Amino acid sequence: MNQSRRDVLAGIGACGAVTFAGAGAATFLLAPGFDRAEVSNLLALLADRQAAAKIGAAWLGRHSAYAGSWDALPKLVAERLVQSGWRGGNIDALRAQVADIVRADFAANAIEDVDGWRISRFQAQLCGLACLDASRPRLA
Amino acid sequence: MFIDGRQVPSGTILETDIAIIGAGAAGITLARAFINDQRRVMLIESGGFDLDAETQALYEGESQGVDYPLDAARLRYFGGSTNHWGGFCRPLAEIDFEKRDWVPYSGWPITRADLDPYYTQAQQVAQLGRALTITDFDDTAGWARRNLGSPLPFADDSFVTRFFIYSAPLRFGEAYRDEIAHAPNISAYLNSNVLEIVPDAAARRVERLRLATLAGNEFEVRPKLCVLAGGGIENARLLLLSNSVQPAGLGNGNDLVGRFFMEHVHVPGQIALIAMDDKGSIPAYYDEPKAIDDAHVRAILMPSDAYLRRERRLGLNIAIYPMRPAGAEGAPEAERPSEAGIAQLLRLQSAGSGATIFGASCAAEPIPTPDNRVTLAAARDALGQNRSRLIWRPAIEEHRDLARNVDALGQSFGRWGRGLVKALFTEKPDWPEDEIGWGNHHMGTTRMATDPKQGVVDADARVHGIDNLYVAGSSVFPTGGPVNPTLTIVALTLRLADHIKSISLAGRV
Repeated sequence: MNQSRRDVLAGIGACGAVTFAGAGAATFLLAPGFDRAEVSNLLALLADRQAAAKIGAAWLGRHSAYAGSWDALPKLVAERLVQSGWRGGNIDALRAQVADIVRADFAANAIEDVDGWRISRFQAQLCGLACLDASRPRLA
Repeated sequence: MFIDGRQVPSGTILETDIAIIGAGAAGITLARAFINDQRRVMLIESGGFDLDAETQALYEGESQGVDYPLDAARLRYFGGSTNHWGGFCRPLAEIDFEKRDWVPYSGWPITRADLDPYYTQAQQVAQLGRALTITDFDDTAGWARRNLGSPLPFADDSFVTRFFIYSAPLRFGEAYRDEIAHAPNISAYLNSNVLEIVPDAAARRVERLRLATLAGNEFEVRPKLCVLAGGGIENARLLLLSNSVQPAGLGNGNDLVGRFFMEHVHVPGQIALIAMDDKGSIPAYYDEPKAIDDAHVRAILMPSDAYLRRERRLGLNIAIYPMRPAGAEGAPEAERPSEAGIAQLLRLQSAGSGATIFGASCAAEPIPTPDNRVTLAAARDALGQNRSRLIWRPAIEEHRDLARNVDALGQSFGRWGRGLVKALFTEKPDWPEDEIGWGNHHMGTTRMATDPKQGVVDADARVHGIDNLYVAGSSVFPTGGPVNPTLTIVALTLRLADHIKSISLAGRV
């Protein structure tokens, strides 16, 4: 799999118009210490991923480093989880871990402005993931 | 006893111990404090018992800066502006009285502790019930837990829950009319306008008041002591009009009368939207007044004193109320996608089933600014008096602080984890006209200061340099705080009544 930057950006442009293939489609999110099932869980936290993806598209529009790569943002999110102490667990444990990270972001003033909404950097990154996931071509 | 000033023959000279000019919250409170006292009190009111267009027109004037409705923002009849009062009551906080080096011209010559006993009495005057003591206003989290349930449990100390307590709202003129009518030592002159407060040749003592009515008769009052209680704009106007001995106006030797006008900016609409993971996350006593015993209270959010000191900001109060489900019909079309996405982020953390959008409205603390002022216009009213000219432009620093406080609100909700904030009020280089509303709170034009070069009245509310002239009302506020002024007006007036009684005992009245 070797998509160009143009492919990624084109996908993001269509973000939100994509029909989701379900949590299992998010197989690109792999990083050391973060397994495939947890990848699915992470995006499954976003029950309406299409709505989240629209937030993500707006955020990615201002963060070209992540908008130009399929891999950079997933790696960043996975590393943040692991660095925060994530050692695996079920979806409820993951939800609690994400909540901790989000609160830590707000405490550290790591806040992003998306359409006026003040969201944490990690929330923005998760929405960015949802957008990437939605826009990524599904290869047979 | 009520007397219609229009029936007083021209040339009449009346004598009294205490003349009170204006029968609003301050004037009526002061008169009541002297019921059955040995001193004779004359309460002088421009209007009658009801709104009269010709009398109300005496309030018309000019404005520069903000297009301000001088005639609609106050009422000129018995009861004064309590006749359209909203009933919001809350004492100023200790920090509001302090000199804060980040707020120019801040600092009262008295403290909150000086006013505490009078705030307690003021609650009775405003008929607020006894559910909250003055201490409860400061420890509102504890009071809320005991009486209503836990307040919003923010994880940081930036914002705290406090309470407004609501008057009915009390119309002072209706509520206390009978008391005034039957008080043997009080004469209330209606339809009577003070044209000038005339001092002696040295301008050290008030000698007489010149009065006129719209019917054309003119008469005089000779008081031993005079209290000006005409409201935050009219107090300054009458001092400036009282210029036959001191050409710049009475008590205006330092060019301070009328300066430092303040209003609480009420931003029209919302300053922020708050998406909450569950409507129940915000208790109902934030949405609307809640009856507790004999009182009605409503929770508001305010920056904590610690936050204000740390961030060097002006204060504000924020009311919040539910508006609609996130992303639902009722939301502007353009807002729906992002609201739906925000709802997902809240579900991500709490596994709730939906999100509710709350609105947040505010009133903000003003900065005392000498260039915001009441002066005399060239145009004259039906009595031949120069009309008021109000020059008021909120400072850009007020806009900046408000925007940054909205950001801090977003941070507090985010740290809590149950809500996310959309800032609708953001920093701009200028304060757009459409972002300026007001509360009809007129403050600061005869500000209180120990030093005559810094204020018009001293810590007792006596006009500097004039032995027997006092001012009651919000015109004496050196700073306005972020809450409605009426309770403080009444408390200050009760304190003034005690002061006048003490000097009377010394034989001056």
